[in-house]
Amino acid sequence: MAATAWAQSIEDATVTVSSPTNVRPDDKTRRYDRQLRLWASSGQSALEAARILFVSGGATSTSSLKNLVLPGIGAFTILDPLPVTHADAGNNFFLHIDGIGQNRAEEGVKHLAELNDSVKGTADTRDVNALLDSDPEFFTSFTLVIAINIEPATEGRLAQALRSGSSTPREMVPLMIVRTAGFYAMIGTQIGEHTVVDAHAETPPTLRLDSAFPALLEYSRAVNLDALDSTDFGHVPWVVLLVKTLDSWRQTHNGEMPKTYAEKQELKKTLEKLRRRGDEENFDEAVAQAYRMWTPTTIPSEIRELLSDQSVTNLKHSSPSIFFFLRALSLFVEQCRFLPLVPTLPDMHTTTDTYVELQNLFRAQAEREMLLFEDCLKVALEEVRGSWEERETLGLGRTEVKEFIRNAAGVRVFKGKKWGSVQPQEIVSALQMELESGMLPAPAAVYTAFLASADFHGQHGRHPRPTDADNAELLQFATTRLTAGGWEGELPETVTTALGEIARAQGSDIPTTAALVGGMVAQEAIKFITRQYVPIAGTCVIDLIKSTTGTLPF
Amino acid sequence: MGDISLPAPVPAPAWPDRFQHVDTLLDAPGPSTDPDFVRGDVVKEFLRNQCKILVIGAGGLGCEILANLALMGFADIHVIDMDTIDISNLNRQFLFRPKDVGKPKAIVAAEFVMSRVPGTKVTPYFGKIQDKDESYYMQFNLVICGLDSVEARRWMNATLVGMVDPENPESLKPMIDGGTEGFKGQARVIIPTISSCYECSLDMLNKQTVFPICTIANTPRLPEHCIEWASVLEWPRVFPDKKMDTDDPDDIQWLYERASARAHEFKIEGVTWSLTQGVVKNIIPAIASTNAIIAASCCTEAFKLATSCAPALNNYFMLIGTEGIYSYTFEHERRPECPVCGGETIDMPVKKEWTLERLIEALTERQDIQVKKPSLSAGGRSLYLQAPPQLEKRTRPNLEKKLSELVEDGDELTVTASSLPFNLTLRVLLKD
Repeated sequence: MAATAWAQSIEDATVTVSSPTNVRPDDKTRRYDRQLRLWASSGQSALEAARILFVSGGATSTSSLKNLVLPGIGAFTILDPLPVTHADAGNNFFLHIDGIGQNRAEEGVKHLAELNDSVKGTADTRDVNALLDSDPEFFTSFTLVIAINIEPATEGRLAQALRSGSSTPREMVPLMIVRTAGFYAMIGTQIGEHTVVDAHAETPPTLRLDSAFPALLEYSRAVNLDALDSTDFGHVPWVVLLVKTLDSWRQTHNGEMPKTYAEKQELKKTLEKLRRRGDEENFDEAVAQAYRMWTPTTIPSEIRELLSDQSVTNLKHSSPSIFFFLRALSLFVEQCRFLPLVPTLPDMHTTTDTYVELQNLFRAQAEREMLLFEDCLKVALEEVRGSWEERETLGLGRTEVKEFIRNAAGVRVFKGKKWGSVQPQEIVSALQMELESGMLPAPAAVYTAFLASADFHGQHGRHPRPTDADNAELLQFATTRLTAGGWEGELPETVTTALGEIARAQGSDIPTTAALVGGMVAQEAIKFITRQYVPIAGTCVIDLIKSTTGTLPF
Repeated sequence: MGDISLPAPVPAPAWPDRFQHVDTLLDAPGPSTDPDFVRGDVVKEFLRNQCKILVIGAGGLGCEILANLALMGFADIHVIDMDTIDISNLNRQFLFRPKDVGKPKAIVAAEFVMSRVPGTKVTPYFGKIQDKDESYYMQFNLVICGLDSVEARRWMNATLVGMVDPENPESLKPMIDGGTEGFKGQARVIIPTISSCYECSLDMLNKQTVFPICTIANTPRLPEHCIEWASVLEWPRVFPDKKMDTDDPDDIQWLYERASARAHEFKIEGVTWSLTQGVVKNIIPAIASTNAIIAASCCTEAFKLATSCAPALNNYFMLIGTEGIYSYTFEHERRPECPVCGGETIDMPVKKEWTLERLIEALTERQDIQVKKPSLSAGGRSLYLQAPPQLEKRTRPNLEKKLSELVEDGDELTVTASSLPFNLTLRVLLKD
């Protein structure tokens, strides 16, 4: 979250008044403008600090890398000892027919590096298995490792090396494992612990109108609707209309909130009755937002769960800043029942002065709660024998506090599973679920076909082909896998169809499948690196025959 | 196009196994493949020597689409784009380099793809889709759109639907349409007159934020209101004879300064250079990865349609990458009252005491029609015309008149607008 000198984040920029950084953007900011509007300068600096390893330099690898080099990751390495074949040059946009016979990593790096001068590309022509034997630390020196279409046994060894290379799950280098075959693909992950600092949730911040803060309540009560002329009446902001309406309803109902459907409708009618002409815009808005009067402000369940997690309750001096914030949040919530107020007021039909006035009320309240939150943060720091003077060095300064509060509702912490730990029963239950739902995507069926194909490859050292003999053997492998998970009887048609397609594909890396998967791999990589947006939890299965994707929970 | 010379294809050398990967899908059917699929040389010959495909747009999606098509074996590709390359394109439009800034996208993209993938012919056209007529579009087997404008998509869609001649199966040109915004996107297959068309789904588009003029002029509350004031009201007042160029940093600077001053006056915070540019250019965030996914989805469907090696998407794929990898594939239904492919008249319920102006306002607010500045006529009688100025002046008094004075219940109104690629017929339902 370190601020960079070269560009002010779009988000930061839009909440400050014209400051010296508001000059014309430089070339770099202009080049990255369309992405900075998504992940801001904090996300961009994380990308620029990232070093990514791709194991194998096939079409899916270079397609993924293209989407990471363009937005400006720091550095990447392609690990691949193989020479470019005619078939490679035919299905890979970042290889050329002139490079046939040259090393695939070197040729790939050459053509990818052209895309962005500020990215450092390295070709490593060593063999992955030899490197796992001689220098496993090589793999843990990266920010993220992505293995595409490598031998299943090597996938397991790589996953093991990353697990052994870290003392805690938090430090474990995340791994993405990708397999493609014709129109099919799967993307799996191994993560230790991943924290999302900003999920970019699309739900607007709550205004807590069901329990208006004192200054807002007082302000609303002071508005005397009857005394207003028709112009002013038509400019009372909907926020005030809702607070007033709920307030008077509660005064006549022993201070209770509306609970039943009938009560809520009655409340809405009370609001409607306040209209004078029937077409006041502010009332149109208020009616559309009426649900806010009876929707209780709550703490999102993901956050509630997170606050009781051991990593939060059992804070250590060495914990990353986010856990200090979460510990402070948990103390704050105990006192206040809410998340700290985010002072973002939506636009509403009213005059400039009233809007600014209202906005100042929200800002003042947010400021008060921010100070209260800082008190909680101080307590959290003292719990681990830290001192408040350390706050800046621990990344707990005022700027970081404000940023945390703004994104608090979107914080997530994922705990991953180790690669290869899925149980046969889990696959069978996912398969049964998709058969019962009858919905279009059938990820468990395609996943089963990938497993059977890997088993076949392990036995024969080659991909299955669309022959009767290979099909029969694939069916046998799939049956063995599923029977171990409790499946009884013949395999469903979704599975036999997927097996047929896997045999037809013969492990081919189709350019369009590679491009599509490359886009998804890059999206997920960006999410892991920036800690913004929510990455996949589980395995994503892509079926381009049905044009669907589905995510399995394991 | 003046002195811009067209790039030429690079002949492919002998290249055994070139299509080793793609051929696995063309040499054998899969369990879901249509029985009519003809495997092997016949389908390869069609794909690589006969099929002619048109790509609309050589931007974020277009660059990806062109590269994909070339690798998949489409060898006769045409591309249309009216834009030139800007520095902000370089974070995703990977066929362009800093040295190409200012050059036409279609031409640079065509040249790059031909040099990287020998044996592919890409014919660029640096201009507008509206420059071409039906006889031009008739030569293609398939059209893929990678556009960022609703208006261009509507025009292309209406043109392809209008070209369908039931007597001539060749006149049916599938249109594959892709679009992205941030981590989200969609790809769809439109079989004109058979599946739902682009116009059928207009109401699925996010409603564009339009700030009322009175807010901008009198009661600004957001920084965006101040920026709109500077661009919509101040610019024409100060520079009555100069058109604003949103690509010119000097113009943005001027708007930014005016908007900042107004914001300061009204105690509104948050006007920045970046926001100013975003508002006046209506910038949509765009990244390489999302474009890659959507373009690849479009090209997968083009390949399936051209070869029948697998069933094509029916008919809508929606991707949401913000929370995991989530996608939703569904059949978007045709709209019987679709003004392009439907045939049934659209009903327009109105109140008798409404003025014509109020009707026009209601019309422009309809999400399923999306028309700006419409002209209206009823039974050959002009009710209101936006242009030319003499006719506008003559019909202007009608705006104040009540609808009950102008039309009868059930009358059909014809709506035309420069942004509307067809004439729209509405049936007025007069209510008390």
